[in-house]
Amino acid sequence: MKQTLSLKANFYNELKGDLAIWLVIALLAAFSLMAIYSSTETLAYKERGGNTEYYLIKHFLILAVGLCFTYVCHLMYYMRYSILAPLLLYISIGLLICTLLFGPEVNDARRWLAIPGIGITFQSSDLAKIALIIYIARSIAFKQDYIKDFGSAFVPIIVPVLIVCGLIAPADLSSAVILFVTCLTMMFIGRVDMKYISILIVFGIMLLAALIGLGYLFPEFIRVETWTSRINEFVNDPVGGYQIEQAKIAIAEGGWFGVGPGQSTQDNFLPSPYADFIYAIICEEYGLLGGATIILLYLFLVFRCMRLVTRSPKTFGAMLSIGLCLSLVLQAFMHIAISVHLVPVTGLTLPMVSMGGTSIIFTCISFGIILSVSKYIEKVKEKSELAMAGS
Amino acid sequence: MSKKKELLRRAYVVLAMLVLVAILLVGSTVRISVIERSTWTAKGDSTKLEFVDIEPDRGNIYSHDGRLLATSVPFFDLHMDLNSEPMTDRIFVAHVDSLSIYLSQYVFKNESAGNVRRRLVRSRKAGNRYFLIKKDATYNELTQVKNFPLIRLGKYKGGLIVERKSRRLKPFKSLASRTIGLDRENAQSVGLEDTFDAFLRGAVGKRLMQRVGNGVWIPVHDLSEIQPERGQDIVTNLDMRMQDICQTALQEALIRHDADFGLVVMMEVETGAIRAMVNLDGGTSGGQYRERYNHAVADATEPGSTFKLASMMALLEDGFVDITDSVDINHGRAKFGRRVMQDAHWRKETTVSLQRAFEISSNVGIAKVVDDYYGVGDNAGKFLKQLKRFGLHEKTGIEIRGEGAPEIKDTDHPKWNRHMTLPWMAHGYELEVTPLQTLAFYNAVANDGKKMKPFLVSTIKLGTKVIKEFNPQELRSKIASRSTIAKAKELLEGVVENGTGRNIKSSHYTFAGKSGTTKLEYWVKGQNKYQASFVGYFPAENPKYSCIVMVTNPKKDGYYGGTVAGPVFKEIADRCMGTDVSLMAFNNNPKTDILETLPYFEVGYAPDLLKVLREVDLEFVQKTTNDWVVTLPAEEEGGLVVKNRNIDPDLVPNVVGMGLRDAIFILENMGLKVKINGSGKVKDQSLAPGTKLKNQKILLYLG
Repeated sequence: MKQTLSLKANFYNELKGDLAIWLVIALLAAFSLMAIYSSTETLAYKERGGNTEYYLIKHFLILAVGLCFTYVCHLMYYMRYSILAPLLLYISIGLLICTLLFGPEVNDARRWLAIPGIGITFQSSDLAKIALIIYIARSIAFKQDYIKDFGSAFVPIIVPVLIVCGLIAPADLSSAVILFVTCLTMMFIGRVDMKYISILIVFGIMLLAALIGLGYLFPEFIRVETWTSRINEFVNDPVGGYQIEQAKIAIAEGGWFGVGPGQSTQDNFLPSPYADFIYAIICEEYGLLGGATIILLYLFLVFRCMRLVTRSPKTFGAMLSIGLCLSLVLQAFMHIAISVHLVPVTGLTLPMVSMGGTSIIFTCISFGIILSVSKYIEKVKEKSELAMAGS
Repeated sequence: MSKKKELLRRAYVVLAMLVLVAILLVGSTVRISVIERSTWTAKGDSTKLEFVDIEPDRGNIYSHDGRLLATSVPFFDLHMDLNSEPMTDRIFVAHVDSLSIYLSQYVFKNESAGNVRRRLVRSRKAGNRYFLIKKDATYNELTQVKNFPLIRLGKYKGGLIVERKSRRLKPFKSLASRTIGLDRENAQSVGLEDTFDAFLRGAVGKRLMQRVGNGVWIPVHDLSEIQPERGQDIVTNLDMRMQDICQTALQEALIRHDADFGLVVMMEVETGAIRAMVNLDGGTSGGQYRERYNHAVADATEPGSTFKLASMMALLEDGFVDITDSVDINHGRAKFGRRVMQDAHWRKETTVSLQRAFEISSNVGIAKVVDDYYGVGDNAGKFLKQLKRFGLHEKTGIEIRGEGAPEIKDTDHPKWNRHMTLPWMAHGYELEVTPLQTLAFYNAVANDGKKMKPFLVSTIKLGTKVIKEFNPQELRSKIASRSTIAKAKELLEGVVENGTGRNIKSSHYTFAGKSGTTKLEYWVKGQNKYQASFVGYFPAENPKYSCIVMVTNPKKDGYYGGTVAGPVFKEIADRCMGTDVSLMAFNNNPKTDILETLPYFEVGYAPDLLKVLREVDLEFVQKTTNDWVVTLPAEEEGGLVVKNRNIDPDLVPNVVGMGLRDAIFILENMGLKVKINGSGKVKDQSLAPGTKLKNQKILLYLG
């Protein structure tokens, strides 16, 4: 009895921070492994001569490495991220420009950059996302006293947002929109004047229009044709096009409880079922139950991060955790919304669940930073409780 | 309101909105998975997917001399997915006009461009994802279509669906077609296509196909495709030149004698490699003989007189007789048990040497000796033992399914007759062997007693990589003693020199063999059906090839083996001797006998001409290093000089004396249009040599 207690204590000592968030991560990873194993079946036959374990093991290893990153990031004192923020942002902007100009073209878009020497490629937008959120959290926190001001608060906050989102948009409009909405929400919570936020929404729409205009002038840089056809399809086709039709069939096949692990047939029809349509596959194999669980897990994550906001003594911590959480949850909800035909089709992964390489690592880093915030908040709470008890 | 409170209030607003979104998402999922469930699952059922096999390219079959005997030619079914997602309205509208023009010009040749356009637009509206462009298109047509407007935008935007199929072709048509065989799905495959199917077949690939309509499947452009693996090639021992020689000779004989069917097999003595295998069956509708059945391999029949060689060799091997011993043939008539045996015709001789009896193919002579020595006591077993030593009771193991099994009765066989079986076996009745088995036996004699396994395939390859090689195999290392083999050869040479093969004797070279005239269905009274055969080898002194010719039921112009099958054998041997360089070496008579005059005034390409002169050991003086030369008599008697034939690029050259190939090469390279008249070498030319060139036409007179 004593031993188990001390073991539990050890475990708790090792994994600091909000245990509930750790649990969300673990459950998402478990779902991920189950869904990946079944949906990579055809990929395995094509690429690996039927070795279906190949992708499972590879994905498992990536998740393991990602969780190591989470662990390391959550050990860092979160204020350190604040110090790093400007540097990270400048590097990210540089990398984004490089990607747009020199990145290899995959499926008509330049999104990837190779790290020289080790042959690992990553999406520069993944890095830029985290860097921008940290930077915005920092700006909002530092300018709390005069946050309603236009020149000294609003402008310095919004300029980097526009630059980064503008650089991501040509190749990956959906990611750019999600990031923009994330930053907007952060500013809203961070008490920026509603007047300016409204202006910003109008401005965002104008920016989008400008991009589309530019796309007609420089079609090789901006994928306007893809966007307009997707939107057309969403507006005009009641079924939503082939992919959505297949996704809906997958969800319908699942019913309440699903057809069972590995029994999916729609993975043959859906393009990259292990990434852009993993929610549909989870619904098919684990039913409405599985799908709802996924949605609730993300919602629960939001609750836990909001809890940090109420407790955080420093605005930076609160803004940082809510910002990172929003970027993950908004992407997740967007992914699900695509599958159930609420928004036009675009290739978005389900964070922590879809198969992927470096993007999983970046997701894990986000979780690590959120946990770092929660860890220090708990420490402060413990200290104050101790002080209370002592007095 | 404090800062903290305002911040929290706004945070709760965000939280509330996210909760609403989450509810909306769960709600939407419920709508699809519960409320609209049946609609979507029904759709799912109608778009079923299936893995469909993709047939790999079947391997090729090559001849010994590297020619293609059987190959799979790809062809394609071309459709268009007019509803492919990346093919937007903008793209479609921009290209449909020009596409229609191309389609009407090259594909739908009887249809106006306007009509094609209307069909395309209507089909797109109707959501047609499988618009037929062309069935059974060739590779060239496919490349052409791929470059059409719209289609050339690529697999997705262009919407082209290519399905590959293949068809088996035999470039040599009927030549050796039964040996090469058939690869069939609904019937038993035959020939090499059957035996080597495992190598030729390759590995089947898989492709995911989706049903888009009633019985219409389109490939899903997805990752789920397993590429098929190409089949391996097989290289046979067949030599198409010899095959052609054999087929032509046999066909002429079959037509002349109005025979039912016939066969020729030719084998390389040293290795057992089959160089030609012809089986020709008469058609039901007159005249046309075709390869329909592999008689040479499959038909075990009574061989008749060709089997007498085995009887003689058994006698010699057991030391009972020598070929100089005499035998009483009683004018070609004798009685064994209750049956009378007769030679082919009445003979004036009574006593002849055994060799003579063999040469004139006396049934009585051979039967009597065999009966005299093996008919006493238990000696019959000794005869059978010898036949087994010759391997005559075994299949050859050729790589074709359905080889006929030889049948040689044992003494305890219920139908063994103490008085009659042995004498009849002695001249090739009451037993069955296939033509190929007979040939393998004769080949062993030609090969000094070493019996080789007849084989058709030498190599299995994948591209240029050798996968497997089949070496010549010995069936028996020595079927008889050296002296028996020598006497057997003497007997066979005697047949051609003095016996039933006398009519086909050649003055240029020697060959050896034995004729056979087997009476078919002799148990039917009044029926005169025969099988004429001739089996032997050439050249006699140093055998290179052995060959069997068999003509079944000749109805015109004689029926004897010597007069029906023998000439075919000779025709084949003649042509082989005349064209096979390796055989010419045996035929190297002194130069003076061949050349009557020196080759003066030969004009041609220097490297070719000099090579020929050196090859025939002609002495000559070379006075030029130019590309084009002429041979002229030297000043001293009997000499030969090679001089320059001048070709000026701006003037009409003198091509008189050249072969047509050289002349055309030179003239057409200068831009002249060449017309020819007659055949042979260039005798005269319409433009005088040395006139200025200006794109004229030139007429060459050959002779």
